[in-house]
Parts: sequence; structure tokens; C-alpha cells
Amino acid sequence: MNAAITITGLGKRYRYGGARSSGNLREDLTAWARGLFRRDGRSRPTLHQVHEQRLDASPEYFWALKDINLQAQPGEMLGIIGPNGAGKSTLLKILSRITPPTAGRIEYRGRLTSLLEVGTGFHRELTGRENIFLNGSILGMSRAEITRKLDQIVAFAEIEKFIDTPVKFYSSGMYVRLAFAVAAHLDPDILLIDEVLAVGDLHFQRKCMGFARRLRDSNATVLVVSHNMFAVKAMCDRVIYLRGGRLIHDGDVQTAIGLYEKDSHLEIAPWAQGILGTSDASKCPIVFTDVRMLDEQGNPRTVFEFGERMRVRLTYEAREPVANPNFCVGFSRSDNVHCCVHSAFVDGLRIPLATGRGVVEVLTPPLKLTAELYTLNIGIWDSEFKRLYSAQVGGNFHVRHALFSTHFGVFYEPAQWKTL
Amino acid sequence: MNAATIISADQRERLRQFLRDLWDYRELFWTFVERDIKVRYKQTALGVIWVILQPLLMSGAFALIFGKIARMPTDGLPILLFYLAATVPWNTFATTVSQSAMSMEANAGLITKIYFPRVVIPGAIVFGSLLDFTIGWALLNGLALWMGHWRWQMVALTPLLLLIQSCAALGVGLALGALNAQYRDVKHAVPFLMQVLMLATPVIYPASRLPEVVQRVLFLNPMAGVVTAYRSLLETGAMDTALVLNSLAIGILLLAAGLWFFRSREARMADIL
Repeated sequence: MNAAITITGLGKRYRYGGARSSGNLREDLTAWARGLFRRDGRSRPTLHQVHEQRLDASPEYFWALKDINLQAQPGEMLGIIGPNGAGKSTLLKILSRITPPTAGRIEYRGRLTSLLEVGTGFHRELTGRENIFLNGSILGMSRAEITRKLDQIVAFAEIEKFIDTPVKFYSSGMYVRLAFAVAAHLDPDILLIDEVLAVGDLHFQRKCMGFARRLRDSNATVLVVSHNMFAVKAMCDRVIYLRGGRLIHDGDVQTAIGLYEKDSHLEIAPWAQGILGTSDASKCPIVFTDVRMLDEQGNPRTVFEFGERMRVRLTYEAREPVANPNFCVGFSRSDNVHCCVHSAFVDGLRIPLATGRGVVEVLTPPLKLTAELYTLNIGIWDSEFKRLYSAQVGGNFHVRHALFSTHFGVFYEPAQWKTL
Repeated sequence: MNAATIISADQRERLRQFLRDLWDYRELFWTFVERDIKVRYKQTALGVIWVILQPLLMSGAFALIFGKIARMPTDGLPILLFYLAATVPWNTFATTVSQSAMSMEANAGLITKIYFPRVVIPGAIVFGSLLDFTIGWALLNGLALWMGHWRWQMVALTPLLLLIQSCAALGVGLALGALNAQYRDVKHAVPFLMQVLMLATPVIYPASRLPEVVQRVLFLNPMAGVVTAYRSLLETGAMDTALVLNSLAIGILLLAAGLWFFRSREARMADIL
């Protein structure tokens, strides 16, 4: 059986601050000419080699991906995870042929399509029908194939009445439905999904994932880039872990998720990077340098029974004095639902001025969260929640209960019942 | 099962894949031609009438200013016909070149998200413009017929002249389109460039009035050969074969150079757009 995708020695070099002309011809020529007059018997480098060596040595260039080797089989769903800047999106971009590799090669069989393309190429002035043909051709369908599937696509999108109306008059819901309907009728052999870039609401994302699962079951290969470890665990048979453009792990899901958790420990939370203007915790005025999840007695734990209390012990370091720091501990579920926050300032802990190193501890009320995987979010605000000093990833923990799963919602609280 | 697709850092493998893609994406070419034509006339009140009005108004204005007032000689042709014979091919050329120059930027949303041979976009623009040209050309023939200047050679030799024009337009358009993807200055320079090019093409004056030396430089511009050929076809039913072949050679050269330049930048386009 042939592999669906074979990647060998793949690398991509980028220039900081965007691509420009790739270097100085004069410098290359001088270095090359110098090589011509060398008499030590070593082979003379070609102009191309000289150019490559100079770019590799230059601090302006970096490898977004390097020495990637992997194979994916038909019927396989492959997760791609890793911290920010690991090269996940670059890998998808090369696979979808938007950007060429700098080194190595990829060979794949069949039709490849990516879900982030939903709706690209639609033209506002054209009708629904015309756009189906336009979008379908752009995504690689033949006109005969589109004609054959037209009725199905229209029915799937539920836009029968508006098929000859220009799409600029469509509601956004109709627009997305039509775009997805075209994509869903592509029958690709390889599907690429970038969860971060796949626009749309939760409902739409679920639809995409359902689509991916159906495709996988019909023997297509699916590659998913995701930050949602819950989804990765639920869907993928195999996970690739990338860090700094290198392939660190290729194999079982649990190991890869473990690596991800270890690497993202105490990292600045993705949502806060924009607000703080940095992804580097050492640049924040006050940060957490350690976090411990403990049970009531003070023993380290990552699995808690429903109704147990949790101690979180936080070590902070203030690089500059911070007045009235408001330490916060929050829980978010693995599908990124933000469940609750405990605020030190709101609960009455006053620290007039934080300087140097210090430790704070919070004992939560009995955990009412339903059984699931949660992420501990730790942050420091000012007392009015106006200024954010730091927001970091504190680690993951499980809540266990035989009955109260997420079918019961976010939390379970007993109520008072009686018969009348 | 389909043949394997190769994504490689190796130039030779990349070229082989590119040639296969050109064939695989041939239907997309027609889809783009259709899209461009449909979109162009969708929200215009006058629609196709613009295609007739544009060269007619332009020739009318030239005829009035340069013919009647400045008394520019017209190689023995009726003044209006003299100008229409030039504005019909020139307008199509100028429009396609400017549109191709903007085409990478205009389709940036597509180019940064989906792969297809980028050359399909300017290719479709040049091909789609043939519709406009045909309408203008029919107008030119109608006017020639009415003025008693029509010759069958007009019909016989137009395909050759059109080929020269299309090659040159695609060649220049490809180069400008690739440049504009990187340097947006090009967008501002194009209208100016087209004006200069129009002066370097005998649109408002007859080439025959220029000194021999200047003519030799002038005919390095393939459009100069094309325009002159149309006029002489209308006047005598013949054209200067050496001149037209010279223009054809330059047109093909321009296309080859444009394609080469475009190809060398095509791969990086998504990164710089």
C-alpha cells in the first residue's frame, strides 16, 4: 500500500520581517570568486552553495521547519501540535502549496484540499450557482463533476430558492452554508484543517470536525493542526509534536500531549500575548515562577474527585514593585470554555506592594465542575481588572465523577426538591 | 488513483510539476475567463455598449483635435477610420496590461490561500479581452465598409496581428503583475507607463511621418507594428510583411521574458502579497 503523503527532509527558511530579495548578489559573487582561487585542494563551492551558506549564517534568516520526515497513510487522522512558532502552520502552507519548501520534498497522492479555504474565491456580484462553479473549480473540481453534484450541493446548503440570487444579498449564515456545502462535496483524498484559522462559530467547527471524521472513515488522510488537546485526543490516531521547526515526536497521542503540557507550562497564555505585547514571561513586571496543584492535605495531585477542594500554591517574582497585585486562578475546560475564576483581591486578600519573590496559596471551595479535563489558568491583574500584568498556563488536571459528565453542563449543584 | 503530486525544493522537479499543473488546471482558466466577463458587465447600466463607446469617443476626440484642428496627416484614410484603426487594438492592449498588472494584488485573497498556477489569472484576462476586441473590431470593419475602405485582407490577417498584440500584452502584464505583488509602486506607475507607451505607438500620428532612424526605434514596440499594419490593410489591402514578422518576433520574445520573470517570482508570491 502506498503512503498518502511522504515527506522527506523538508525545510523552510524565512527571513525575519518578511521576504525581500534573498540577499546580496555582490556578497555571493565575492565569496564564490574567492573560492575559485583557493588552492587547498578542497572542491570549489558553486555559487548556489555559497549563497546557501551565507543565508544560513545570517542572523536575518531562520528555519521555520527543518529536517521533517514523515509518512501518513490513507484512513489516518494525524494531529499536529506544538507551541506557538513551532512550524505547524508553515507545514500546512507547504502541503497546500501556497509557499514552496526551501529544502526537501513531499509526494502525495490524490486530491488535497484544506478547510481553511472555505468560501475563498466567492465573488459578491455572482449568483449562488455561478459561485458554486467558481469556487468548485478553484478547489480543483472539474466542471462535469460540479454539474453532477450541483443539486446535492444546493440541497445541502439549503438555499434552493436563492440559487440565482447574487451572493451579496445572502445572509452570513447562507453564505457560510453554501461555502461549506461546496467544500463538503469535494471528496478529497487528503484534508488539511487548521483549527485556529478555520473561521466560524463552535457549531461550524463541530460541522468541520464531523466532516473530517466521515472522510477519514472513507479512507481519506486527515491532518489537523490544533491547540485543543481534547479534540486531538478524541480524534487522532497519531500525533506529530513540533517544537522550533523540528519534529520532536511522532507517534502515540498521550506522549505528544505530555510534551505539549510540559512545554507550555508557565508560558504566557495565547490569549494574553496580544494584550501583554509579548510571549516571553521574563518580560512581564511580575510573573509566576512556580505553580503547584495540591489536595487539601498538601500532596501534589492532577486528578481530583468531584467535591474535593484544591490548593494552588503560586510562587511569584516581581521584577519591579507592583502595588495591589490581584492574583487570579481560573479553570477552563478542554474545549476552551472558560468555567470560573477566583480572585484574591475580590476574596479579600490585600497585598499593598509586591516586591521580589513571594508565595500565595488559594484553597478552592469543593469542586463542582463536571468530570472532564481542565486547564489551570493563573494570572495577575490590578485590583480593578484594568491592567493585566501576566497570564500564564498553569497545567492540566482532571475532575472525576461516575455520573456528572459534561452532559450535565459545566457544574453540578444540588437543588431542593419536594413533591406537592 | 491519480498520479503523485510532487512538492519539491528542486527547480527541475518544480518545473515538471508546474507543466502538469497547467494541464490539470485548464478548466480553471475557463472559469476565470467566465468570471471576469460576467463581473465586468454585472452592475453596469450600459453593459456591452461601453465596449463600442470607448474607442468611438476616443477616436472622435482624436479626429477632432489632431485631425481637424492640428491637421495631422492620415496616410490617405478618412480621419475617423485612421484613429479607430489604432484605438481599437490599443485600448484592448492597454486595458489588459493594466488589469494584468493589478491582477496578483486583486486576487491576493485567493493566492495566499489556495494553490493554482498563478499565470492562469493574467492568461484569463488577456483571453477574456478578446471579446471586447472582437466587438470593437466589428465596429471598425462596419465603419470601413460604410466609408468604402473595407478589404478582405482585414479579416484574413487580423488573427496574426491579434496574436502579436496578445503575446505582447501578456508578456508585459505578467512582468508588471509579478512586480506589483512585491512593490506596490508599480500600481501608481502603470497609468503613466501606459501613456508613455501610447505616445510610443503611432496612435495619434502616422508612423510614416517620422524620420527613418526614429521609425526603426519605434518599431521595437510591437504595438507600433500592429497599429501600422491595420492602417495599411485598410488603405491598400497589404502590409509590410517584414515589419509584421519583426513585431511578431518581439511579441514572442516579450511573452517569453514575461513568463520567465513571472515564474521566477511565482513561488514566493504568497509570502510577499
